[in-house]
Formats: sequence, structure tokens, C-alpha cells
Amino acid sequence: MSSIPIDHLIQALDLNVIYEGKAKSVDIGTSDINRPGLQFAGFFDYFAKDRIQVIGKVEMTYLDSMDPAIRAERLDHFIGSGIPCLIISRNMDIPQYLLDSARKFGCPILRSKKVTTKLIHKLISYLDSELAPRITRHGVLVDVYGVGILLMGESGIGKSETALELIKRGHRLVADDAVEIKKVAENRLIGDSPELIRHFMEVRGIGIIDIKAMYGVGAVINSKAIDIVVYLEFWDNNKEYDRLGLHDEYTEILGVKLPKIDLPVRPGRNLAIIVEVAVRNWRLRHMGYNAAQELDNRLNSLIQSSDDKQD
Amino acid sequence: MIEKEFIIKNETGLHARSAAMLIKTAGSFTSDVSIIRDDKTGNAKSLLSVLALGIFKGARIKIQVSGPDEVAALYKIGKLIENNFSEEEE
Repeated sequence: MSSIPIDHLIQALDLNVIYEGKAKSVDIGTSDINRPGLQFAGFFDYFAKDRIQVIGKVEMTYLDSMDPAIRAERLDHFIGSGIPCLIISRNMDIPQYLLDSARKFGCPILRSKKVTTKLIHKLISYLDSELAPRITRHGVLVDVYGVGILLMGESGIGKSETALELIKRGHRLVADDAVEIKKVAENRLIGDSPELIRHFMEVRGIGIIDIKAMYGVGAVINSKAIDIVVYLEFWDNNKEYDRLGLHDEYTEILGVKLPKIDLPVRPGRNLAIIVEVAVRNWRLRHMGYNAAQELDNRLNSLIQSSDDKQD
Repeated sequence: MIEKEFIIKNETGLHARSAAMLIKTAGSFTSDVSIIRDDKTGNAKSLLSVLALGIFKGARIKIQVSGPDEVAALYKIGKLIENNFSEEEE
């Protein structure tokens, strides 16, 4: 189960701390939320006690209308089951009985100014992004024509140099060397740079350079979805490289399938232009035009018509 | 794959110059060398990725080596860290 420091949650959602509780961080394994209406009514089957609990206007009004003895018993059962924290929406006043029960079990109580639905929406998207699986990969992430390209390959193969040439041609750097990848949805990976080295780059023979200072703010971007993985590798005479481009190859990162292109490196091959071309080609294909397929079709129709003539 | 834990003892931690020495040593071997701090992993052959870990004095790190010359690589890197990147001698 992941845990999120409670201060981060408070800061990100601009919450008021009513009672800070006893724990430093909240253990949350899911981005789901529970509204405890049914639990207050006494139904505790399938109670999702590992979720953040949100009390809105309805729940609060119901609590107020309850018999104090039953209410105290239900609240103790509810909070005592070990819920991570309680958030009250609409900036409502916190009744004393709720505070008492929370104090008994050391459960944090937070308050938000937002209306309940908006609060839940923000909570879920925050938790989704915080709980997303992450990985750090060695590579360079660049934005080429709005397409996120992850350049990978051995140390010293020229990833940074290729990225530098791409930046010079007007594209944008996201991260050099260490790319932090986050899986934000089933088929979507977002890459960014570790804070400390953001927009810095290492070029062999020159050292550390600051891309933002050197090329301006237009040459960098903080994060970018990864669309294609480009592998740079030393030219291998025994390896068969894709000549037609009829078949797509894929690689997997964090369980997400991404198109992969193997680019052999050889002196005199301008990799930046080749990456640009690969992206343009990918965009064309994405829009439904496949050059290799088109050529194949032309050939086929030529063969067809010559067959017809012979008949 | 072999690994070993270290505690960084030199005053300034893994700053630019000591990191440069580390990647130079790691880069002289063909094995893959990773440096791990908490839940973050960096490629020990790449300067920025080592610096990105933000390793300061007292940090506990793990060096992970895998490849044909892993034993020699771990020995050399371990020596470098244990000698505090020869900071005092300079």
C-alpha cells in the first residue's frame, strides 16, 4: 500500500486542518473515495474503510438528526475501524461529537471549502497521479512536433547530442539522462525530469549545460506524454533493419505498449533529421496514411492492370 | 548481479566533482552500474542521473553491478567511496 504524507494532501487540495491526528502520513492504496452515509445508517457490510472518507451536506445533516447515543456508537464504529482520514466539505462547522470521536482514535479531520462533488473530483485526480506506478529510465525525453519521443540507448551513443540538434531545430527538451516515468492511465505514460537536474544536459567534452538559459524558455517543457520510443544502437552489419516500415514494433514500459523504432547510428547519419522524419511518418500513419502501404497498393494495382491486359 | 551498501562519509556528499569521479570509475567497466538511494535508481555511468539523486553526507546508498567485470567494478567503486573520493588528500 502506498502512503502519502498528509501535509502533501493538505497542501495540494488546500485543506484546513481541524484535528491533525496521530499519524504523519496516510496509508492509501486506492484513489477511490467513500461517502459514509450508509455506515451512519448502521450498515457496515462491505465498508471501504481503507478509503478517504468524505462527509458532505447530506451526511452531516443526517448525523445531526440522529439520536446522540446511537450516533456516538456508529461514529466510534466508523472511525474506530481505522479509516485513513476524514474530509468535510463546504466549509461546514465541525460538531463536537465528531471531534470527540476522532480524538479518541487519532483520526485526522480536514475541511475543504469546495462543494462535495468538486472536492471528490479533485481528490480522485490527485490520488490517481500520486499513486501512479513510476519508474526512472536512462534516456532523453524530447517533444518533437508535439510528439513525446523517448531516446534510449547505451551510454555514449549520442542521445544527448541528438537531442541537442533537435533543440536547435526548434524542438523541446523535457529530461536528459534520467527520465521519471509515471503511468497516469491504462495506456498513458507521462515523463518528466528529476527536479534537481531539470533542463540541464551533459555533453561529453563540454560538460554540464543549461538548456533553458542557453536556448530560452521556448526550448524546454516540464513534462510530456511518451508516444514513441527510439532506440539508438551501433550499426550492426548482421542485423536486419526495417526497410519498408510495414510492420510496427513495440516495447513495454510499466505495462504500456509503445511503438518502438530501432535507429542504427553511423558516422555521417544525421540522427536529428531521422528522428524528425520518423515522427512525421508516425503522425501521417496516425492520420491514416501509411507510405509503405500506399506504395504497395500502387504496385498491386499496376500488377492487376497488366494481368487484365494479358487476359 | 552483485550489490553492496555504503554510507557516504565525505563532507559535501556526492557533489559535482565526486560524482564525476564515480561515473569515471563506473564508466571504465563494461558492467551496468546502478546507484540506489531509497526508492530511486540512477545509472552510475551518467553524471546527471547520479546528481539527480541528491546524495548528501550520511546518505545510505546501494551500488548494484551486473556484467562480466562486476566483481572488479564493485571493488574499485567501493574503494573510491570508502576513501571519501580521496577528498582529504587533495
